[in-house]
Amino acid sequence: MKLDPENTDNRTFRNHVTVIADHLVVIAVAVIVMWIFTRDDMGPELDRWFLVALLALLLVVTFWSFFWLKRTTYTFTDTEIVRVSDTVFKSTKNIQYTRLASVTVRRSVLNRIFGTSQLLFNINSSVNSMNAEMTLVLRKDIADLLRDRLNSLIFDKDITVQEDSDLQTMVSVSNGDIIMHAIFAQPTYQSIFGFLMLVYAVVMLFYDNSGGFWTALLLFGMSNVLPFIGVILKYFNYRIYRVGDTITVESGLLSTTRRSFKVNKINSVRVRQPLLARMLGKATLEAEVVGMSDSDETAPMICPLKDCEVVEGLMEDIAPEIFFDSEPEHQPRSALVPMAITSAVFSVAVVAFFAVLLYYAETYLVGLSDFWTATVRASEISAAVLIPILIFGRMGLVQRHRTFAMGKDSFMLVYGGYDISTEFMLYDKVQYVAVTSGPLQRPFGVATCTVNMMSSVGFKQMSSGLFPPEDLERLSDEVMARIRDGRYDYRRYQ
Amino acid sequence: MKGDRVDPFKVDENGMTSDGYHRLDPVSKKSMYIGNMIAIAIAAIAMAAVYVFAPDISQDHSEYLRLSALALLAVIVAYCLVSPQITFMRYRYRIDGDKVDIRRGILYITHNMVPIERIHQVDVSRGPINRIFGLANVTITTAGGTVSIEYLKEDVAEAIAEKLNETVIGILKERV
Repeated sequence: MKLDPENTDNRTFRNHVTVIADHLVVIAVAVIVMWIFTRDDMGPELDRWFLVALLALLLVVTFWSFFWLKRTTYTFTDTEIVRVSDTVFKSTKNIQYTRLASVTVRRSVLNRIFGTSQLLFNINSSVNSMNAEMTLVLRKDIADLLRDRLNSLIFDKDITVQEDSDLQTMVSVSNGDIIMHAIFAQPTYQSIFGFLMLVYAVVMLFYDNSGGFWTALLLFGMSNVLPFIGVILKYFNYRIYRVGDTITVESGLLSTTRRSFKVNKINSVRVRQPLLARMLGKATLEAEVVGMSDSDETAPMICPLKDCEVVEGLMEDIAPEIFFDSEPEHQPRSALVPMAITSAVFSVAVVAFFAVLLYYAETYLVGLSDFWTATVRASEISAAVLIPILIFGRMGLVQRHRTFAMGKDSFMLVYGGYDISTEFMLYDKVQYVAVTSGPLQRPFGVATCTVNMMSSVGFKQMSSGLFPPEDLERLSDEVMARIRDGRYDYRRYQ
Repeated sequence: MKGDRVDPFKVDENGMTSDGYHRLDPVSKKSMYIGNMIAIAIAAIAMAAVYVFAPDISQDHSEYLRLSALALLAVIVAYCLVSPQITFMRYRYRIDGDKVDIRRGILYITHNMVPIERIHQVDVSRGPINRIFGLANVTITTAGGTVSIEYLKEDVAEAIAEKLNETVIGILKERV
């Protein structure tokens, strides 16, 4: 089985030998970290033994990785990928191209150093959605050659990798847009928390309280700075393009990722508008496609923060059968009563909590200056007033925004309070529906609907606002009607 | 008009409600009660621990803790005693040619509608308490999660699983 990149008839591949280095780096880092944390308890004699053990472990891993690499092959037939592994156990895994939800090409820093690419094959399964069903590491030129072949085998794309790279992006996204996205597309609660921590850190610095300063700064870093850096690293150099029915999303600063999926594998699309972004008239577009999510479990992004018209235009281009324009049904006024009761209960709990804090204030304010005592008390009173206002404010926004609409092939749910999400989903992608009414909702004739679907992180539930149960049950009726009368055709989604 | 009202939980000689749903066998209540008794016993042991150790937790607040524990235990006991009867009254299921339909709930009433076309797997399971009463649960797996029909007579559970499996296999055969 010769692996020759020039031989275009060659259909069988093995992982590149540098995967061994990948395995060794992971093991070595784990063992060295362990050694650093335990070396105080070890004498110099044990240090020597540790080194011997580490070398032995690395040797075993090297041998095993090499053995596994040599005995595992990947064959790309006309209809499927076949992985044959003949190590201690012999196993054969077949993935038909029709079952593939997406193919991802990833180049980490190590891949760049070694001149390799990772190919990740994801099937349309909720069980394996977070991990690729198969991963193959190849020299970059061989990976590109294989991608050319896969383009035509899986995606019916007669286009080379080079031509792929030259294609015009469907929406122009600059790195400036990505920085805007990193700042304004974060959930509102996260932005507020980060802002409060930053203010607190500055106050602590002013009062020379290093413990409080570092704690607040750490929390600010974790809630705002790290996600900001994560977005920059992940989405810099963003590009999205379409060839036939295949969408490819490409991005990354240090490690680059290129994900391809067929339009018919989209389970739902979501326009997300956090409060700050909404105030700027901007939105992001996300799509649920199995295998499109990364380890951070965020929904795969199709369009970073852009003007709402641009996002809607892109959604119409990518999935015209999902998007529809109609007069949605607003949450009925009767829904206000159960929401008001819930908000009141939460508000009373918040006020009671701060009242208890104030009551016992003298026990934890001992030793503080008058200024600090007044500041802490003022903060507690402000929180006891502001939080209920925010709770009732959210209720008002929820009542205003929550809508539900049924189109010809898809339906739409709008949910959220400060951050609004508008989700479109094909009836044919609904797995099952549950309509639930609680003790506060039943007297007012409203219920919520939960739509269960496959998502990029396994399976996901999408919940509606409060609507009459008979209206919500029409959704399930429509799903069933499409199955019965043949409008649902499974072949469209293969 | 009161005389014309149809009792939605009344079953005919075939064990069906007027709107075509099946209800659970009355023996299911026994299984639920025993399960709940075990839950009460566990809660009581936890509360007893709070009672015994409360003085060590905080001298100032031990009485509050004890009262809270007692109130919580009372709520759990009341719920465990009442819930089997309400569950039994409200639990209804229906399997059409193309859909599994389940209505259930105590405080929150849920209506699950699962198209058979979406089913991937059907399992029948019997826990130790259910086995005593000849009961079983049917778990239906779809790509979007699982739904189960609980406390069924074993023969009914097996028949439902067989019917669903046959239908799913029939759908798959049609596609080949």
